[in-house]
Amino acid sequence: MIQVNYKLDTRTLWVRRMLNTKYWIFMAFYILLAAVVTVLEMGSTGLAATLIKNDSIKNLLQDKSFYGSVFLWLVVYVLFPIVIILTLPPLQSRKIAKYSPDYVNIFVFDEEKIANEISYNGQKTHIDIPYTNIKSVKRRKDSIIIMLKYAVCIFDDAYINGSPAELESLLKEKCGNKYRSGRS
Amino acid sequence: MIQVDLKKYPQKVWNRLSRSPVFWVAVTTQIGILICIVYNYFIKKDYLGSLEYYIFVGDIRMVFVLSVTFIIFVAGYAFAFLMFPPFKVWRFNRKHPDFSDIITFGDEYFVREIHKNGVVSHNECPYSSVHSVYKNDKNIAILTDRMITLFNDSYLNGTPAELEALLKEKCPDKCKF
Repeated sequence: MIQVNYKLDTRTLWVRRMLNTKYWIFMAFYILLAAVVTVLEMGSTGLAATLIKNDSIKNLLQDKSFYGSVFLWLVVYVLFPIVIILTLPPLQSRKIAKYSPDYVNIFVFDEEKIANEISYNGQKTHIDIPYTNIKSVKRRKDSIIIMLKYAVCIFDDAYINGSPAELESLLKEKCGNKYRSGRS
Repeated sequence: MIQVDLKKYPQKVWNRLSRSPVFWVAVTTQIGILICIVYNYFIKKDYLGSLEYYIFVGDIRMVFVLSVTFIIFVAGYAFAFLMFPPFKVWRFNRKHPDFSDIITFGDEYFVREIHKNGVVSHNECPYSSVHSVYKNDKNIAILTDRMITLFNDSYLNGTPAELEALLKEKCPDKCKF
């Protein structure tokens, strides 16, 4: 039986973030939108050009392109960056530490299944995951990444019982061709 | 003991979506783009703002802007179609025919048991973790760190009135009814 303490710290959250497809779709969408708005804003209807063109506030408020530019600025350069910053792993891990200081997440790998025990704020969750639900396993320099519906990144210093080598051999036995060895 | 089947309802997905800031940012952006297109083509009558015109004139900047706007607009609507709650629930039910999600209200905890693709999840939540409880004609919604919507027609054991009484007893200051 191998037991691992799965802390939701910054490095774990970064790995989860990097392996999250939805995050990359969102970022691709934002980069495209930002590129369009930046090109538009460089033109004659951009905010800078509108501010230079209108010499008084009265004229500025009557200029329709001013409102369009302000809307685009707010969405692309204010709203999206705020959402991105608020969901950054360092802030998320600080939020978890602040609101759930008693957060404990333990993975137990036995012969039949993976058991996951989570407890925080008085709530207890027990999840049994069969090995057949694993999509892929990848060995990295300092961790093993198990891809379920989400990525579980187990760092080499998080073992309570057992060792990375034991987990590797167990996963190789259970997952067979889903195991990929990366950098060592 | 009160037991409720938490099936996947489109209404539940709508409730969850409406609490997501990313959803509202996406909706705002798409509506903004739609207003711009409608304004340009139907009110300003700017038919020259078409991609073909700018390709013909050789304005690379506007060709780039219009192409990317078109990609964002189409991708946004394709995504909205895939995430449209009735369609999403239909896809979910087809993909996970063995899905079951049952919540049982006991004296100290309420227990949620989920079976999905061979994964069994058992969650015990004390009544002290409840942030608030809302009620309307169709459902009772319990807000913990997630939203649990209990529809009046999905009770396996007990009735909505019994649950209301239990919640009022266990967390009286959290009930907003």
